Amino acid sequence: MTQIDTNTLSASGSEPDRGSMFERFEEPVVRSGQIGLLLLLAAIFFMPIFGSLLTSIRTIEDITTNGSWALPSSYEWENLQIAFIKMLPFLKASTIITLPSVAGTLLVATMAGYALSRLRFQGRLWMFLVIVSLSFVPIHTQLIPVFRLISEIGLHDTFIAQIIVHIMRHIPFAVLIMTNFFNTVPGELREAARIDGANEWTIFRRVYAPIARPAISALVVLEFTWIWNDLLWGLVLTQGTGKKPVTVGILSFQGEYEIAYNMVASGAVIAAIPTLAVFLIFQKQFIRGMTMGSVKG
Amino acid sequence: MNARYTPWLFLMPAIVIYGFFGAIPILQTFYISMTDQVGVAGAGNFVGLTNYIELFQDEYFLNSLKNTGIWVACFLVIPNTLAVIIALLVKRTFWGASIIKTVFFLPLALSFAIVGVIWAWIYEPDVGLLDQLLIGLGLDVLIVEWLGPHAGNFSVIAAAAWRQTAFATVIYLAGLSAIPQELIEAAKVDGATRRQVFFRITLPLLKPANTIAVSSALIQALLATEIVLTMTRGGPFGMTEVVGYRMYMETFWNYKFGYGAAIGVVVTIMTATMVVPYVRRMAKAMEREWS
Amino acid sequence: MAHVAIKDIYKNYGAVRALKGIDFEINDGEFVALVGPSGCGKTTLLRMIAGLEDITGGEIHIAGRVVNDLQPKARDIAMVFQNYALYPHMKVADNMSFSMQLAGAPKDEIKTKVEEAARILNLENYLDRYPRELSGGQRQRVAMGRAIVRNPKVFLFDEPLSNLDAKLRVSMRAEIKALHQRLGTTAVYVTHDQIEAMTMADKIVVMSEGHVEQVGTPLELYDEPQNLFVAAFIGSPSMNLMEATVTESGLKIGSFPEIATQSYDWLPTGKEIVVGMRPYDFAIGDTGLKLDVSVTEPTGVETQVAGHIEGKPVTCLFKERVSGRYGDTMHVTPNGPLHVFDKETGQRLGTAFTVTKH
Repeated sequence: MTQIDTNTLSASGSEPDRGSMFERFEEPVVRSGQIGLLLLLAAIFFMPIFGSLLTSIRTIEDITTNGSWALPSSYEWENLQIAFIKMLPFLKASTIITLPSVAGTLLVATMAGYALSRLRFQGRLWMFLVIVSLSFVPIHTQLIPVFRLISEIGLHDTFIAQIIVHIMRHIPFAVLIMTNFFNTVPGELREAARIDGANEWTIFRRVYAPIARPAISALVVLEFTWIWNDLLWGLVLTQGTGKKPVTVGILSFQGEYEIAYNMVASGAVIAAIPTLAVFLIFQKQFIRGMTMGSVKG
Repeated sequence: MNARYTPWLFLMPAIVIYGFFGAIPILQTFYISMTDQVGVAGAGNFVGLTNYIELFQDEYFLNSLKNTGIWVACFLVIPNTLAVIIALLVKRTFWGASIIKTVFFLPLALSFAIVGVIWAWIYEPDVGLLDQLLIGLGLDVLIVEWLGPHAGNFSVIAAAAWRQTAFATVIYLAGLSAIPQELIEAAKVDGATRRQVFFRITLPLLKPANTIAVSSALIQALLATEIVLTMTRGGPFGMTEVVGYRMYMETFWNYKFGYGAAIGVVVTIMTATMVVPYVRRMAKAMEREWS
Repeated sequence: MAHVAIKDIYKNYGAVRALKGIDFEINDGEFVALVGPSGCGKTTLLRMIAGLEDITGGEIHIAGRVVNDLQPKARDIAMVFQNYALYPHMKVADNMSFSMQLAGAPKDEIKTKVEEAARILNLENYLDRYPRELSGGQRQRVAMGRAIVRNPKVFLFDEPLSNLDAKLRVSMRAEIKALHQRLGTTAVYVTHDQIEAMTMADKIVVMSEGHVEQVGTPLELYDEPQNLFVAAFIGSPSMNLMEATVTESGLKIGSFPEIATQSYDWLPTGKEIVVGMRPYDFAIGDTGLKLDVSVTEPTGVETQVAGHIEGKPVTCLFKERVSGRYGDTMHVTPNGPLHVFDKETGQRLGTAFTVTKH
């Protein structure tokens, strides 16, 4: 036992045979190697983002003369300003599309998840399996008919079309998450509420929905990021600038500036800020959402 | 007890929205794939399996199919291996762990559009971040035409793998923290070395996380449309096209809706075969839950 | 307060018959325990009284009204759940008054009622807390508070103490009993713990496999168990049951000499019976039944001896301090009432008494 007391660093508490002696000797070396490797990986991982931030505040002349990795000779905040002004309509459109889409998805999915998890009815398992399967349906399976349908009902190049389609696309996953969450809430709460005189809607609204706050907040963060980051629907369902989301905006921005890398990077930074901010502020919810049985990325 | 229709009232909004805008279109895709429809207007003529026969003689499509295969293979290995290593390393750090974690998670917040734009700049010949980095390190010999016909597909995969690794790291870290510390301690008391603990306890218990990470990697690799669209537009000479991108091009650039739908069906079938085991597992879990 | 009648109640889950004709009555203000092993249907029956389960057949009356088709809220009952089922997002006060809020009761009335219930249950200082900030015993009291506030005709308890530790269970047992005596509300209490049932209930309904084995006061069940099931179930440690034969001079257990018995002339000689003896009803002697000791457990006040007679497990409790270890033998003689059961049917035949030798 004293072996362990005198050597708290050791991961192994077994008797001092050759193996553990070796491990003990090895420990600090291995550990610093591990930390070194970790920092190296982190640096490589961060490089794209750091490089973009760096590029976004430099001038083209500076980049071409001093190389892409040099510290800026002067800070060109104007790049970001120009990018922001150019991106503003797209940012606006993305906001108008994303917020109602997230709210709609959550409302619809929370109700459906409650029913699937807590109410007994014929075809419940079948319904659940259909929803699980639908959460894997690739966008390619729906792209053409949805495009045609939206055009036919005259909703092409509108916000409402994008909102409805986003809600549709995200219903299966959100229902799956909410069902799984409600499965973890004791069923007795529903019975207690029934005895207390609540009807099904009241039970949902006043008992289960408030309890689901952690799941809902996690889903809000996830869905916000996903819907905000969608590109294909934004490309397919829009025509004019006013209705295009920021993901499409960054593409046209890229097309416009081509080799003005500093401007392209500025555009990317501006376009990334909303989701990055949401991610950094709500990282806990984001991670919780990811790990709540998600298979998406 | 509760009225028979109550559950359906709760499910109705989901069913109506998905049914009208999601489920019916799925069926329509299958039908459209058997027509020669061009553009939005009209319905096209029924042509049976003609589109499919044409598809598998189409050099562009076959090339995109090959590229998708490479995507799947790379995605199964690279993000998963990297993520396990990162997760294990991060798990053992005690200082600054949360900042390091955030660095690894960050790509998840970025859209494929932005990932594409950023990485296009990284791969830019001569002035690009990667070339400049290699020159700075004296590794000029390694420089190739990153987005050229030979390396292009792999370069796009690397960019996407960057984001996928972030996802897998989240999953594996969660998987690691779900392993009860007592198990590790018990193994140590039983005389296991650190290596044995890893291979005989930790790794087997990461199986559920592995399932999730692998399914996700498969799906992302099969779809991979948006990032190709933003980085290379399939070029040069269609060398970086993947099936999902091919479908988008045939439909929205060539307006061959019937043909595009046929590619869509192929993508769907490939995805479906990949997720069958996962859906089965879910079914079993739910049956247990609800019995 | 109300009279509850359970009339020929059946419950089927598909092909599974969970309850097979349950019949008993609960008088106004009575505390009735439904007791039995898990799976006996006691919780199902309680949930049917509450209105949480459909009734397959039969009728349930509360206060003279058939409630079969009434929603739970219309039955004027309150229920305390095994896991308390407190609303985790509501403070204690809101948990207790949720039913009144739903019914649209005026705010000051709600306040009065909640405060009154809190005073009764010593929860005054916790009204602003969330359930997660309370100990197990406090949560238990909040669950009861929620029931009290409604001032229902019947209280329903579903194993309310099973999530508490042993010590707390004993004190909550007393609290619930005191509360019942104070409020005088009819109560139905489900438990698998026969001691809980014995100590708390005015009347016990023993159930097994979907039917009622016996209904009676705690002491009736203890003194005159109607069948082998009740005999084995009620009392701790359990009654010792041994096969025996009726002879001219007494009851003969295995190869031992007859136990001299009086007042058993209603038993035909030669009849095969099962005789039940409470663990307390033995005396140590030099002769008698040979007990192969497995273990002795002294508690100070008494000594519990577990062992075998004729290969059958037996438990005896002695006031004397006896010692013995595995492999020892001692001789014991029954000196209390002998519960006689029909070996074939398991039904009670009557009580015989040993002839005291002193």
